[in-house]
Amino acid sequence: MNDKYDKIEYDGEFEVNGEFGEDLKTVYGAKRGVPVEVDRAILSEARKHLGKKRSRLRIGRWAISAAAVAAVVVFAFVHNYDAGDSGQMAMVDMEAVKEDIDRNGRVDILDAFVLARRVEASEGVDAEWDINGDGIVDGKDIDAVAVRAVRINKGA
Amino acid sequence: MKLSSLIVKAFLCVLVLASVIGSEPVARGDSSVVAGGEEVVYFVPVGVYVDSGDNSLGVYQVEIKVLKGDVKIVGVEGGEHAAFKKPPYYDPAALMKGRIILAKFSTQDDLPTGRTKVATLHMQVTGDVLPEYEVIVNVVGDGDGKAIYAVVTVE
Repeated sequence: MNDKYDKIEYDGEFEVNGEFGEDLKTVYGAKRGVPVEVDRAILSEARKHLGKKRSRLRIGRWAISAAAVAAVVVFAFVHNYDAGDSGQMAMVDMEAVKEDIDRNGRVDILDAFVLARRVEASEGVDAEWDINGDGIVDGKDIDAVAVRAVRINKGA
Repeated sequence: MKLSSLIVKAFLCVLVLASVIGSEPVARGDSSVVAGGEEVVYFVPVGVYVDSGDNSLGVYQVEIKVLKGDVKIVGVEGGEHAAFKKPPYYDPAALMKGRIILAKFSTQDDLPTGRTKVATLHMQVTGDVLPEYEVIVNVVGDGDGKAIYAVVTVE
């Protein structure tokens, strides 16, 4: 290496004058204090702004909770609907409403069972349970409900 | 339907599936074997059992599907206990097919508990693939029609 560039002589003082010196003072010079009024105004605006964000956050949480509940409801519905499609538990369509004796939204053997109990006890027999339309509610109507419950093709 | 009810039913289905899949395929038993060309055709009875434990069994509805094998349902018989002696309800359209829904209830006082044979299916099997079945529990209830825990198996 050349000794010419290895040593820098420093005598302890640097002095910068002119425009460059002013710029340095602006950047690194003593900072001026912020007036209290400005400080309060900024704080007040910040609080207002954060308050709005917080309320948005609350709405967001409520929306998430509502979505979770909706997901459960949809799951329950889909579960039933799928079951109906596979013929396990038919969701009641317009034609099957008469057979849904217990009004739980599907026709299964429990409907026939409930009807059988009512017919046997001869109490609370509703005229609308006359499934076969022969004018009386009896064993034939119970059979009709049961037959509907075990139908392979529920839609047919 | 209540969510708890769904969970119970789902649990029942899983249990039943586990018991069916985990068990050996239905054996040919004493069924007669008829040889016709290269294919072997034979008939086999398959018992349907509902184990309701300590609860009385008053009502059931189950779906049975053939999972494996060339199997056709050719007949349906009742069970052993007097309450379920008569054949269950089923769709005649299910005969000669591989899927059937069986359902039956009893309003009499003397109801079975524990493991009860509620029906017998007669199957026509073609070929040498051992049949396997899936059982789906739709409803099992006690004498008041109240849903109860039960395990349904076929064998």
